[in-house]
Amino acid sequence: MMKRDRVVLKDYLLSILSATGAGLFLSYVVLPLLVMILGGYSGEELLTLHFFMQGAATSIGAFPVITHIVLGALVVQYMRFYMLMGLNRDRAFFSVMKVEAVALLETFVILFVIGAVSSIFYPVSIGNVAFTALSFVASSVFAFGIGSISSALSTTARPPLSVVIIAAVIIAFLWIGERLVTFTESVVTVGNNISVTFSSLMEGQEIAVFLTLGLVMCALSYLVYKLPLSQMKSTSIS
Amino acid sequence: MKIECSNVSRSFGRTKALDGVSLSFEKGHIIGLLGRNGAGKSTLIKSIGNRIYQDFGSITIEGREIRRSPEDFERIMIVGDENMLPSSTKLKNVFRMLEDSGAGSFDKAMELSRKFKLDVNKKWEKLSTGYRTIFKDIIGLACVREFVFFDEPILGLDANHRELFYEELLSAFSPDRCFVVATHLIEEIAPVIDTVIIIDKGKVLKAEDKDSLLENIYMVSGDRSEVEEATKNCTIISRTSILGQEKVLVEGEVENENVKKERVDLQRYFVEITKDGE
Amino acid sequence: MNYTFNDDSPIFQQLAKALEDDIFLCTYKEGSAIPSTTELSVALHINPATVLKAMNLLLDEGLIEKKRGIGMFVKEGAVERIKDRRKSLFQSKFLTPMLQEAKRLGMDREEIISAIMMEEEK
Repeated sequence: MMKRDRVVLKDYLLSILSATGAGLFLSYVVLPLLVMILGGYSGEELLTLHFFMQGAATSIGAFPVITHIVLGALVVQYMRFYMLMGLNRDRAFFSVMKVEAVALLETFVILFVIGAVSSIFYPVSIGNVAFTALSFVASSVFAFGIGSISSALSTTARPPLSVVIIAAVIIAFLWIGERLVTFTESVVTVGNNISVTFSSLMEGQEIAVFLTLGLVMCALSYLVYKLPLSQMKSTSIS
Repeated sequence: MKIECSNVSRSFGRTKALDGVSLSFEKGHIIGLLGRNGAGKSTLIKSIGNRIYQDFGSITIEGREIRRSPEDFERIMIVGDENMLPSSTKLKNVFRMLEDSGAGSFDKAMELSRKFKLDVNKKWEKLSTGYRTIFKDIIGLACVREFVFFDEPILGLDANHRELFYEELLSAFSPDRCFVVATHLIEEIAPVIDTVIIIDKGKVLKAEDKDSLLENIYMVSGDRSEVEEATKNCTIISRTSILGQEKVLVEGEVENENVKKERVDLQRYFVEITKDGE
Repeated sequence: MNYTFNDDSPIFQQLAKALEDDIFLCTYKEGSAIPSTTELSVALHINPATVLKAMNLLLDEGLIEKKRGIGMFVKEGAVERIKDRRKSLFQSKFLTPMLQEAKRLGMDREEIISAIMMEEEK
C-alpha cells in the first residue's frame, strides 16, 4: 500500500476506532452506571447489567455506522488530496473506495470482538455475533453511500438541489429497505420504570439489501462527478 | 532528466486548447511558461500533472509515459488548481498529510507559513483569495519532488508577498530540480527565470534560453529606408510608422549604423509577439 | 548589496560591473570572500545561472578566483588590474565624447583647457 494511502487510511481507521471507543465507553460504562444509580442498589443491579450488556452490544453498532456517513461525506476531500498527489479523478475515487473497504473490515472486526467479549455475559452463539457484526457493516455501507452521494453533490455547488436529492434518495431507499426488511422489537422492563428496547437481528436478505443499496449509491456518486455540473468533471478517463 | 512533451494536443469541444505542443522541461532550470489568458498554459500543466488527458501526443520522462508510471508522476507536483485541495481540513493537517505521504516537508511548510503570515489553523474555505494562492505556493515551495509547476503563483499577492515568493523560489531551487512558473505577469518574473517558453493560442511560439533570446531582439528605429535596409535579414515582429520614421521590433542580425538599435525587455517582447490581429 | 538593474544591457553584465565596482571601491577587499552564487541569487531575486555568468566574467578578467569547497575570493592585485583597464578605456569612454561635444559647441583648445582647470579648482 502506498504511502499516500496510509495517510488517508490512518484518518479513516482512527475515526472508526474513536467513534466505537466512544460508543463503548458510553454503552458499557456510562449507561450501566446511570441505570444502576437510578435503579437503586438492589439485587436488580446484576440483572440490569446483564440486560445492558445485551443491549449495548447492539447499540454500539450505531456509532461506526454514523461514522461511515461522515466518512462518506469526506470522500471528495480525500479525492482532492489524492489528486494533489498526482492521481487523476477516477483513480482518486477508487483509492478512497479502497480505503473505505479496509475501514469496513475494521468495523466488522471491532464489532465482532466486542460482541464476542459480551457473549461471555449472556448466551449467544459466535455465529450470531458474526451475523450481527455483518449486519452493521451492511448498514455502514448504506450509510457511506448516503455520505458519498452528498459529497459528490457538494461539487455541483447547488445546495438546494443537493438537499432535495439527498432527502429523496434517503427516503426512497429507506422505503425500499422497509419493504424488504422486517424488524421485530421486544420491550423489557427492568427495575423501576426503566424499559429497554431491543431490535431483532437482521435477516440475511436484509443484509444483502442494505449492502446493495449502499453500493448503488456509491456508484451513483461516481457518476455525479462526471456530470457537467460537477466541479470535478474536467478530468477525464483515458 | 527532463519531462518531454511530444506533439501534445487537446481540445475542449470546438476549442483547441493545445495544438501540437512539443516541449521539454529539464532539471536545473527555472522556466517561465508565459502566455496570455486562455493561451493553454493551465491545460498543458494539468496534462503533465495527470489531471486531464491529452487527445494526442505523449508526455514522458526518459521514454516512460508519466500517466502510466506511478514512480514518475510522483516526481511531479502541480500547484494552481483550486479544486485539488481538501477544503474543510485545517491547513496544518494538509501539511501533515503532505509530509506523511512523502510529498513535502511539514517543517518547511510551517516555516514558510510563518514568513507569509498564513494562519495554519484556518481551513482552506475560510481563506481570502490572496491567501489561497499563498497556501498553494507554500505547498509548492515545501514540496520535495523534483519537478514543480506553479500555475499563476503571484495572482492576488501584494508586492511584499511577491518578493518573498521569488526569494523563497530561488532559495528552494537546486540543480537537481526544475521549477516551472506559468504566468502572464512577466516583468517581475523575468530576472528569476533562465528559460522562456511562450505559448499562444495553444501553440508554442518560443522555447529558448532567456539571455540568448533577448540578445537577438532589438527595437530598431530611424528613417524608413534605413530601417528596412538594416533589418532585411531579420524576422519582423511588429512595426509602427509615423511620418517616414519607422520603429520595428525584430529578431536577428541588424546591419546598419544609421539606425537606433535598442534592447527590449522580456515583457515588451512578449506583448508584441502575442499581439492580436497580424 | 543594493544593486538595481535596467533593461539597457543583459543583467549578468550589469551584475559583473556592479561587483567590479565594489571590488574597486574595496567593499570586497582583496583576499576576502564575495557572496556565493546562491546568496546573490536569493538576495537580488535573479536566476542563479545569471549570477554564474557574471561570476564567470569576473573570473575571465582575473578579478576573482575560486577556492575549492569554500567559494569565490577577490584575487590579489584585482584593484590594480581594474585600474589599468579603466585607464586604458578612459580615453575612449570619456575623452573622445567630451572632445566631440566640445567640437559641436565650437570650443577651441584654449576654451577646453580653461574649462578643465576651472573644474579642477572646484
